[in-house]
Amino acid sequence: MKKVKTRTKIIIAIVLLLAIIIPVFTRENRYYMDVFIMLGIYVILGASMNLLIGYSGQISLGTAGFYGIGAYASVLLVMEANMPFLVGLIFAVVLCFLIGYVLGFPATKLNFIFLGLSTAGLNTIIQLIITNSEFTGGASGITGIPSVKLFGEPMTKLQYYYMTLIFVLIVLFICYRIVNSKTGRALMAIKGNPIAASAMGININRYKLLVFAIVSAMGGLAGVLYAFNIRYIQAEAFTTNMSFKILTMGIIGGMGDLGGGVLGSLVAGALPEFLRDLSKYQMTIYGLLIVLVLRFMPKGIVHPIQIGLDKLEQAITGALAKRKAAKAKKKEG
Amino acid sequence: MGTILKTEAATMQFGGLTAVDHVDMEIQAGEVHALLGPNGAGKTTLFNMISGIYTPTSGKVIFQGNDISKKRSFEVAALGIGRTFQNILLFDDLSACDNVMIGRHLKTKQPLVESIFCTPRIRREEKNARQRSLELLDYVNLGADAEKKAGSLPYGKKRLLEIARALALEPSMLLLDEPAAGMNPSESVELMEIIRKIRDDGVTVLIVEHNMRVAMGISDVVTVLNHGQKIAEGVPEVVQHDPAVIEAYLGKGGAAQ
Amino acid sequence: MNIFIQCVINGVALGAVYTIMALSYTILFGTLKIANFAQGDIYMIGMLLGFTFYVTASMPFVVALILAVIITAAVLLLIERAIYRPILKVSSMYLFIATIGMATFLRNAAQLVFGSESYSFPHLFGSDPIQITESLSIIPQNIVIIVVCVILVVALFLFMRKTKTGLAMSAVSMNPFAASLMGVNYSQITTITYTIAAAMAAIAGVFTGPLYNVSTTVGATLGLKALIAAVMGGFGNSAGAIVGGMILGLVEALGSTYISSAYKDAFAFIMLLIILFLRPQGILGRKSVSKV
Repeated sequence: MKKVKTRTKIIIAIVLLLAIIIPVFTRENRYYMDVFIMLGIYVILGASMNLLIGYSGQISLGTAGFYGIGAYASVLLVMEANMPFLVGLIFAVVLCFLIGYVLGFPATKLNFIFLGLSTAGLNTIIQLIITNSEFTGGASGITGIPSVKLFGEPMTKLQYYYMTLIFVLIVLFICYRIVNSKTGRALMAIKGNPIAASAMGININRYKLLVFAIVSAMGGLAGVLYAFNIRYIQAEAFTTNMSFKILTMGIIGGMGDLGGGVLGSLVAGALPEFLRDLSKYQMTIYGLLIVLVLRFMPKGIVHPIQIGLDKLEQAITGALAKRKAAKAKKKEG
Repeated sequence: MGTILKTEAATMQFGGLTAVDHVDMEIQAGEVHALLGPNGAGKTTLFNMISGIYTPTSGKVIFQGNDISKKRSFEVAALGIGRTFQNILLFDDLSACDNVMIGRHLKTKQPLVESIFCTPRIRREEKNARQRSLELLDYVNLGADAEKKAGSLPYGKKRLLEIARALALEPSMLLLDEPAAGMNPSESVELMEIIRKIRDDGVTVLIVEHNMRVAMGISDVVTVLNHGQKIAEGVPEVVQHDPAVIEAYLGKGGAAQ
Repeated sequence: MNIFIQCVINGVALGAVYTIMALSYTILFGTLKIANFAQGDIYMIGMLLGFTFYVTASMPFVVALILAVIITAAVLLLIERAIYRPILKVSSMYLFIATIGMATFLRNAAQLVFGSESYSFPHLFGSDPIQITESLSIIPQNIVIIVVCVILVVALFLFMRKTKTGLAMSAVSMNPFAASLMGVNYSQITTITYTIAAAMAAIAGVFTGPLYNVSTTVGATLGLKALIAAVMGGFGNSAGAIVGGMILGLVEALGSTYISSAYKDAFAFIMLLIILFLRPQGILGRKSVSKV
């Protein structure tokens, strides 16, 4: 197991602390709380997309489809069958895993173009089913989704936020563990050279499929968290545009870097909030962002930050060493 | 010891071209068996058929009594055949040690769900895999290069690293595709010693080699292919003087010289 | 029975559109192994330019067509030089993602320029359907598009088989390295291939303008479906693109009449999934053997 660098630990601690503390001050502001909850959901989507693309070399243009399946499956189970929220959540996650597994079965054998196409297709089909079926409320969607209860009381926005945060941490931990185990090594081998990987006994299709299904399940989880926060769902939220947004989140941070996945999700997720007056430019900007990052920063926006931190770290250790040396000299003197 | 690997009329066609044509070959366990022949004779194709990268058009490949003709590459590896590649296929961005650890894939017991919970077994397996990989690097004299990136190693060392990675599978048979290509004479000698060591440790070795000195120097039995067909087989000293072999290598008239 | 024949006529016309677009994907993929996801939006640009010159600027149709083709090709070539080529040096998967990004960018940027309304493009030979029998008819523009498709297919075939450049493109598609050793200028072939792909998309755009409403979103679904047609036929195989395009056109026309018109857009994807399960290399594609 690779040792986590002290620097990484410090960064994780700071980010986590901010994620816990800031919302306490904004808990009365519904708008801010919804933004924070959405950012959490985006991190789940973006980090899992980063796992899919960056580590297993696969593309999904249909994540919003799984996001939608997760939302509708859990909502319908809770509303129609009066099941508790958690049961709905688990059901939705398992369902998305299974659908991902079945769909990925032919597609993962082929290259990323086919997978990209068939996932885009899945998204379109799901979209059509949602809009044209009665049980999904058709184009008008489902309203009046019950709020999630904690100890019999409806959750406050702050509580819901913390619940989301816990799921975010679980997802990130799972991604981290997948990457830093034999499975992660197998994925790196497949990405590095599939023929050699296979000669080492690695069943390529099995691993690609496994990751694809896991990422699908994470998309479903994000959908559940979305639906029960907004408490109103309609087909509009699960279009291929959303899939593209998720793709942007997974990529711009830096492919094959979990931290990059988180950063990319936060940047791409928060962007529309800063550009609210420019909302009609949103998709143009996402498109441009992906093209420019791939063209000029193929290692992602996390890369220059890493270089900056490297320099900072060197400067600090250098300064410390100097001080130590000076002190030692003083003592001698 | 008996036969470990046998091909029966193994044939491989690409479109109209027959790259390997009804080759019957038997390899005894514990031997170093060399596969020789001029360029384009079908040696690497035969390797790919044995290791599951190609499925033979017809004929059979039998390993330890099992028909493996239709098995895929990762299944063949699981049965105990490790291999290296003529054009070196290492994971260049990873360290030498990580490369060998990938070779330990099947021997490392880390189910995914357990990995996520990071149980003691996972930690133990990880430690074992690393330690065993370092031992293997020592075995091929690469102990000092463990943390270097595979892509940064010189050519000769890359070849040795591929051997260590293949050995990490703990194979009963090792296929080496031109391991001495690109090596200088002293590296070739080192390689020959390593191959002997591998054989003495009980691993059967099938080797494709262009360097005649290496091939004749280490092999117990030699099979010669030409135009996809087997033209000679036997102990190196005899095969070396076989007119058909000399003709294949030097062309007609070469035999007379 | 008449309904069925009517569907077949409509299907062939639709198939002709898919065929032209599928060929424009295929020529790029077959020669350069590049899947340009933005091809549908290149088609959209061609259509908008054609509309601008023909309707807004009242130019003669042929002039508008030629200008649209030239400018569309210039746009795609600029994208190729400035964006695609450098990214391809890093990774072909990155390039595929970049083409997806480019598609989104072009579509939405065009919307900022042309607005989100849709316009109607006048039919070249009138919009009154020609009655074949009492209950069978065909819109003149559909005949035009079928004729254009046939001309393009024949021209492309002759170009690939009979000209030196076409043969050089085939050589590049088989083995770029060997082709460059034989003196084929890879960079030049890349430019020519992109030009042909852009020209085909632009021609399809201008000629289908009267059939669809002119808008910035017209290329997204059509482009995706044409790509599916190309993949179904056997990606990189020109005959496969024609077969895939025609089958898709017929399935959509028949399916939306006999099965469900609400799910018209789903047929392509369902067919794709079925083909990927049964014959992953496509209808006319060959299994590739990788050399080790």
